[in-house]
Amino acid sequence: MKEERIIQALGQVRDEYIIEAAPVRKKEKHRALRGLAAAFAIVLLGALFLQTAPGAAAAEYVVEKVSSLIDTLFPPKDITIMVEGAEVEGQYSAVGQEPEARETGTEATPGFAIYIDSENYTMTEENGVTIIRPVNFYPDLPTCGMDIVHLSDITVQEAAEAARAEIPSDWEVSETEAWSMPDSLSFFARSGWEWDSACKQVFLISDGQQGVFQVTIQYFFEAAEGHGVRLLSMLQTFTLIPGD
Amino acid sequence: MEDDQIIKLYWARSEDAITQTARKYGSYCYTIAYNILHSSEDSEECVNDTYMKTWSSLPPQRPRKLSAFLGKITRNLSLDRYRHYTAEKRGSGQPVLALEELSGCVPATDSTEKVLDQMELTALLNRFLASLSSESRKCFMRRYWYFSPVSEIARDYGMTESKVKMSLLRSRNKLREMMEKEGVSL
Repeated sequence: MKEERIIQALGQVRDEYIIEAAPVRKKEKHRALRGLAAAFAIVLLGALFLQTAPGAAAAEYVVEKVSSLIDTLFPPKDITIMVEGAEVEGQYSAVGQEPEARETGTEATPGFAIYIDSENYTMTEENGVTIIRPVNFYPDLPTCGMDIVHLSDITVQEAAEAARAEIPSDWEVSETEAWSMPDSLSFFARSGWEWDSACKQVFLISDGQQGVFQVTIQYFFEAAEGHGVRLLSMLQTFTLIPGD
Repeated sequence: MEDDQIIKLYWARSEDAITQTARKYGSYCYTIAYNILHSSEDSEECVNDTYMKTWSSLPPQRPRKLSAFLGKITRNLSLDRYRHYTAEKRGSGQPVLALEELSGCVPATDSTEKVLDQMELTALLNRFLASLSSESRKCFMRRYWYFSPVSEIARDYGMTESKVKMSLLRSRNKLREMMEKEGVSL
């Protein structure tokens, strides 16, 4: 049959058209139910624990610690992004650094919050650097992730020059304009065009006082459409928390 | 897990590659197979065959879009099985309806027209798809690539069924006109 030839030939059309029309993955209802069940179990255990004397003492401590600024201001939310032409919905939760008071009479260091795809990425902190990495990352692959560090007493321009100076001289570097935050600079650098060539996107964002947040997103060339897109979409949620 | 990591697992000949593929794309492949075969058992077998075929293809292949790569394999395997059943008079489901609809796209035969080979026909279809609006293209692909029922397309794209049918009719007419204009036949 001639029309069957259309069906057959259609099978080999461009991948982008196949992905574009792919049924959107809906979030599993079971996951929500499991979440509810887990929450109910925690509430029940907590209620029982609070009936005891140590429980009552612990309650005060927990209320103080858990109700942090970031948890309060940035509740978890679902975000849909486009990855490789397909819509992917994920559960995002906020992480970051809260403003820190230095000495009495001086300004507090500003903080920040950023939403991360909590199913696929984790956040740790090491020596003042916020480190966001993929979970279950295949160890043989080049590093992918995002590092955020606060630099004090420096301008955006000076921080950008210092960051550029750290890029190896044989890398290709170009300005980028994809960042909409006021008083910020960004650039992109790559080590080559191989599938595993390192790519870095560096963002210098004024903290609104006398410092800069330096955000470095790194991935390898072949992961640009995967981790690259995911990390950039997370960075779009970056929010300054003023120190005052 | 990201596609590049899954592909890396195939290249490392790790059986975890199939587990991760099933976890990420199992339901996607099953949907494609089920739309064609309308049988849970046959669809599951086709999806398993897809994993085996992927296992034997990677390496040497390194697909840029794993979802499309898997989808194409599932679709081909499902259509092969569907043809086998049709030959045994057991054919049913969306492909019968899709083929009936597409018969309207076939231009009237003319001895002066060029008969396209499969690659030329795919190239023409790529040009045709590029000429459609995003919404029309998605409707067309969902119907004739994924064999989704019209009711499902309408639900997923927030359209009425009659609007989907109208979009499909216009696209089919456009395809026929394109083939006639280019003086080609099937």
